[in-house]
Amino acid sequence: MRIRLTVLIGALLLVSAGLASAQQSDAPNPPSPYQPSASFLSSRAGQVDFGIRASSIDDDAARFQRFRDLRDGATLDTFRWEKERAKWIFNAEANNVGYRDQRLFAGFNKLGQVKASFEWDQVPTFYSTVGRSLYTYQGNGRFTIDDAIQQGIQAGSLSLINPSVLSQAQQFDTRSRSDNALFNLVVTPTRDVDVKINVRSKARTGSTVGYGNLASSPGGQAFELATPLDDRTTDINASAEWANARGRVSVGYVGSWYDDNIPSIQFENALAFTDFFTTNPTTGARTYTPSLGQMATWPNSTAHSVNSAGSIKLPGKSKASAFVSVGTWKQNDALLPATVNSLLVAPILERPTGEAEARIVATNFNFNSRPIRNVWLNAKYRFYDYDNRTPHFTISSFVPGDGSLGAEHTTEPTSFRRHNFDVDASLTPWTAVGFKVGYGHEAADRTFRIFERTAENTLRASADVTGNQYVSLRGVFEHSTRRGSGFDEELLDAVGEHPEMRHFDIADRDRDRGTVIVTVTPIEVLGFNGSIAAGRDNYKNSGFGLRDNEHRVYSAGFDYVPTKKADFNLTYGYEKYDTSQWSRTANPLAATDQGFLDERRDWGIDSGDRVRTLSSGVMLTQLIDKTELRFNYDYSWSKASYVYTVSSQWLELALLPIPTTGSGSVSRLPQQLPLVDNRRAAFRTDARYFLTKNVAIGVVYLYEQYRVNDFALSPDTLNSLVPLTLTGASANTMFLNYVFRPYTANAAWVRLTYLW
Amino acid sequence: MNTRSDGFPARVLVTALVLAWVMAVGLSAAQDTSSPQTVTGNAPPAVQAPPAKPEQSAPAQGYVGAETCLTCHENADKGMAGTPHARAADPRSPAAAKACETCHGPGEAHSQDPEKFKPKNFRKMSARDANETCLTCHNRSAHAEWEGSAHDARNVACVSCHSVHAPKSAKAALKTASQIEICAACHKTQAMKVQRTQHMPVREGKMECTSCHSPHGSNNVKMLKAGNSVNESCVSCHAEKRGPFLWEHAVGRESCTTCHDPHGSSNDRMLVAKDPMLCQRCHVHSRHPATLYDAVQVANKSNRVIGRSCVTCHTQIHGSNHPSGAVFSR
Repeated sequence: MRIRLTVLIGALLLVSAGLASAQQSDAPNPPSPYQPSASFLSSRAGQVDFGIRASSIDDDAARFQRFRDLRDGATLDTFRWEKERAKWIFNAEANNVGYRDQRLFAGFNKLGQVKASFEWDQVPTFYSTVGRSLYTYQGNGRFTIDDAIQQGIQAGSLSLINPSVLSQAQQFDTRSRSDNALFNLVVTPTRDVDVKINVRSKARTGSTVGYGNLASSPGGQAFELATPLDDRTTDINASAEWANARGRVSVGYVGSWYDDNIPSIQFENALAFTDFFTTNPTTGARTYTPSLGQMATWPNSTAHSVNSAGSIKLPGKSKASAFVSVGTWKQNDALLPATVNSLLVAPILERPTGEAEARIVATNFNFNSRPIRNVWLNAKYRFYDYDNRTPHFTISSFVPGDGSLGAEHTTEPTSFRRHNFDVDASLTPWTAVGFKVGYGHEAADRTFRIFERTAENTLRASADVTGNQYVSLRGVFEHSTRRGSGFDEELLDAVGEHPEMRHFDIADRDRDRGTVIVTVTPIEVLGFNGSIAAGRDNYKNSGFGLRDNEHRVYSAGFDYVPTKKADFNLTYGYEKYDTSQWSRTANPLAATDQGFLDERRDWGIDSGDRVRTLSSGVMLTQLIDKTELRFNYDYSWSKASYVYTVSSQWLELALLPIPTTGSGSVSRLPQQLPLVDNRRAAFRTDARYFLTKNVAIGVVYLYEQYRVNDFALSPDTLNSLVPLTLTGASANTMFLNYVFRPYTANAAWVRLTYLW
Repeated sequence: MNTRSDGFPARVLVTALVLAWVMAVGLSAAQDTSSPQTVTGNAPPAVQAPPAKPEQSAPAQGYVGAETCLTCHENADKGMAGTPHARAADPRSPAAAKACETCHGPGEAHSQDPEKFKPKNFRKMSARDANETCLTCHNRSAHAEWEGSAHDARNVACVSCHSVHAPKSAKAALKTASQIEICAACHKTQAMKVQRTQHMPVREGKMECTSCHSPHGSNNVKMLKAGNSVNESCVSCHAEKRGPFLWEHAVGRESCTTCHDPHGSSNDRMLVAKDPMLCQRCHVHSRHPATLYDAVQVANKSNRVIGRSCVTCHTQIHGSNHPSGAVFSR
């Protein structure tokens, strides 16, 4: 009811704004008294940069080229051509022609009447050049493995860690590419009206690092797969907007279609050629090992919405605006069978397709006013409703990993609704100085979350000194408190979580945040800047889970522009992030297992991340005759730590034979993890010497170095497709050889530039 | 739990807003005939000149044309050449109206006595006074959301980022060559994150700040350009994660940024923390989340900590459409 009321009111407001705007006549345009000077018109330059590139990449060439293509060969880096006449402009652009990251663009603008453009933009994602796998991709989402390997392992004559098996792994690149086609059209039938159509098609092809898993934990298997990508997203955005000096009205439609050409991933089990099971002689329980697994991929989906916005200027330099959007997201893909294990009787599904649907309503109302020159007021109300209408789906016994029949599960179609109300007032006593105070309230309710409702109140204040020749300062401070209500402990009990655990995204939280940015410009050519940002989130009522989150960020830099021909700048930043979370090693509470209540099993993780960033640049334009020089150096070094802490009584528990059957091992003190270290340094120089007014010869040199030490993804840890444990037993996971490796790269271009 | 009642007095607030709106429209209509901003013809609505000080004699209010302006300000149009402001064929451009005086106000008085009467100098005006001039023409699409936006609230002036007379960027008349340079002047933390190992393709030139954000205002939160929530913005590109799915990961449905930092991170997949520690912020008890994954577990090659950790098995963590996808492993 409330949604309908809100939408209705929004619609009325929009009509009101439209009528008010319509009162202003759209009189024919008389000739302008001004005849533009010829100096406002100028012919546009064209440019073409072409040359040849050579590079040397030591080790991880894929990461160096994660989103770009810097292969050796002839290059056409830039092409730009623009033709401008008094009433129209045509321009065409091209970058990196022929490479995986190429971009082509063409635009036409009949001034004041029609603007049309088309863009083709390719974005590569390069994961690995050294991926290896025993799997062969057969197309249509199906991965197979040599039957002899499966049969041999199932029969016990082979092992997955046998070198003769692993040596059969084939090497390949793991990469994907997004091809984005974008068409834009803006038609301006009258001075006040724009009609816009935007069509975008994004097609992804290639592969990414994915997984298939079989049987359930413990004892299950997981196999990294070069999961194929073959999908397309088509978006249409159309709108009509009427705006004049008094107000504005717009209506729009947004449609999106996502189509995945690979409906599922099927993969064979490297350890089993046929489905089989073993029986526990004591309990009689069966443990199934499937020979095949099947996983769902991203389902096809659609999204449609209509929206309308309006605003009107009011007395007292006031403005009121409204926005309403009503939409629906749908997904009705055919459901896969619950299992492909031939030894299991797959439970009958309640329905054959997803039948998933969410209706979304969003509204904004804003009132802004400057009743007197130095006072600014703003009130905003925002409403967002994600109403998930997907019918509940119950599966009588779900089948994790195609391995065994599990318990009954029912879906939890998540819905949420947010109301935000904000009021802000600003005083600008002097031209360059402004003070602002504000209050915000967010009320949210949700389904299937531990808090049915949360309410957050925020107080904020800021001071801004801008426009002063020597100093600018921006400072802001916010304090907010969020509290949940309608706590539902049953949701935690049902999944064996402790009742004192809180999901940190909705947990009770006290938040303080502040930022100060100062810029000092003692002389016109030299400016210094510095900033401090700090904040803390205290999840004060969270017994378990994330309890504390702090950050401090400092930066300092300068910008020196002694002449129009030279620019030097440097910024150094230091970031410090710290979090604290708390846990307990215990299984769900049971009559035979009281470890769940045992505080001695508590432990925590203090996570820290220290990041140093340096960005610097030098630009010398014509400082040396006929020469342009640019140098850039960027450096980022992150050191992250994960430090375990345990309760003071942990050791006592570890050493004493306390009956805690089934609650997991607490037999030793934790051994701390090594630091995670990421360092990247990049130096680039771009030099151009003009042989004539139109012709320049240039050199681009790029040096990048990346060093990484990540305990989870290092080559030392993943030292084989099937890494061995400390005791020599094989792990139950087969990887793709996708690891975090360093690289040192040098790339250089020689290029010729022609301008016209 | 399915009952949805937040207790927020939305109806009262909306009603109050409507009443305020109706009253405002009424007041506006009553004053319509005396509105000083009504302009016809090719010219965009003229901006009200600041009221003359009482002690000054009334200045001449006429327009003198660009050629007169350029007599003294001879270089003022150089940087504008080829920019939208200079294209007279576009009836919405200043060049099509009063040229220099479209923005700087009538110049007759200034031309007669340059010392006594000064035209508008936007760098010396308060941010909101200066912005009013720009907004008379830039009054549609995202620009129409400027008033009340986060940038407006903090006294950001149009000329803080843009330079009409000396733009350095290829488009949008920015004061710097690239977009991130201008954004980084204030948003330093975000700019530094772009340099991290895991990042969006901003450094590579495939994205820029405005790929996601609308700095002039937006109907979305965080000045996001697409959609009406953080997630709607994210799935405008990552449409595969839109769903809705049969099995939903509630925290992800509410906000992608609970787990991901879109500006950059040192963690794989731009996660805000490394797995399994990130997952263990919510999944604390019960079976393997309760395990302490220390160096011994790494040495033992536990697939719950090495490689991609939790998502090795819980692959479909964004949501699953498989009937057996209750724990996102299918």
